Amino acid sequence: MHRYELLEKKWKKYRLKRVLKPLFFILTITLLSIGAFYFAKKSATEEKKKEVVTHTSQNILLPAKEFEKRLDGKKFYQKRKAVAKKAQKKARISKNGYPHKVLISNKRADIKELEKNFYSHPTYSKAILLAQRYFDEKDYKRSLHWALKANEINKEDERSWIIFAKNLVKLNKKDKAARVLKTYILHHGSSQEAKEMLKKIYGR
Amino acid sequence: MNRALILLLIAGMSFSADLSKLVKEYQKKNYRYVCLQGAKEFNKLKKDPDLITMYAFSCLNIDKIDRLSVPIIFLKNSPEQRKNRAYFSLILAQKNLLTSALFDGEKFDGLSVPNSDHIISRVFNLFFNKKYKLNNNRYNMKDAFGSYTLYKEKKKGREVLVIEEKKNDGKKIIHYYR
Repeated sequence: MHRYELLEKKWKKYRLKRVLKPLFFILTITLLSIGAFYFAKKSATEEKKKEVVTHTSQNILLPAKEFEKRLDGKKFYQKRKAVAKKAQKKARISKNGYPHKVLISNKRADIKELEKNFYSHPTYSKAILLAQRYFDEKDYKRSLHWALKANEINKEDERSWIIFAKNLVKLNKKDKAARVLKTYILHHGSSQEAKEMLKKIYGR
Repeated sequence: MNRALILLLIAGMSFSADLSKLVKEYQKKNYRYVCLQGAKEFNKLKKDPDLITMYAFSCLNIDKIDRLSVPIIFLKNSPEQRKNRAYFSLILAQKNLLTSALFDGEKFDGLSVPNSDHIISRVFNLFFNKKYKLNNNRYNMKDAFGSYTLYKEKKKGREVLVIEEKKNDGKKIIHYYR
């Protein structure tokens, strides 16, 4: 082989190498990048899958909502009853812890107050009450006065006539008392008490 | 005495009326009413753990997470109560850790806490696992349930933690946490 031919061959080899070298380099890089991209994509999908798994796995802390079923069956009136009972109990007990007692006192009204009361609102019962009170206190003249007052308001009721007669008896005016009682019996019907009193007057 | 009795009876009646209304409103999903009214009537409902739980879930549903701290104290007497107590405590703690990290730049390395189904837990895990893209002081995150944007903003002079939630169905909800 001629020296020129050898040189040409060498030059061709060198030119091929020069062209192939960058091509090989580009190809390697392309393959590597494709590989890397594929790997990254794969790992990303795997991670996503893993994430979903962790969210749906049983290790996750979930709330217990069984109480919602029980809410339907709750009856609050029971509590209301309990509160009412408690309130009743509390109301019966005083601050110092002793139960309250219901005290009923019978207070005798003052006679002067009664008179005052009568003059502000005159009623038959008040007048009778005053006549009876004065009679009990042996103040017969005053009792007579109130019996008359009562009689002025209501002539039909026997009580004013009887107290009037009783006072007259006490004042030693038996005849007048008997006349009063007879008048009542004659004009306002038969009263058993008046009749008995009349008998007593005559019997003495 | 009679007046006191009547007043107490009326109080008893209103007591039951209030609680039954709270239950009805909860069943109607009126969580705002139950949470706000429940706070006022807490002395009445604290005797019943179911009502406490109802109150706690109502507050959780309207993002009033700080209010969970009180029910947490009371829920302790049964496995169900303790489970819910753990759930509420976790969410409360995660919210507080997120707030510290975002407001004060606190770093909590190597943090490993359980997960829950609540949005706070999801955002918490994405944030502390650094699965976010920071853009203009906003942390954008994504998981299988949707995408979230976490940031802080001033509301009525106070800093609040904001999570903009975009669900997979396109529904958008903005959560505010103090």
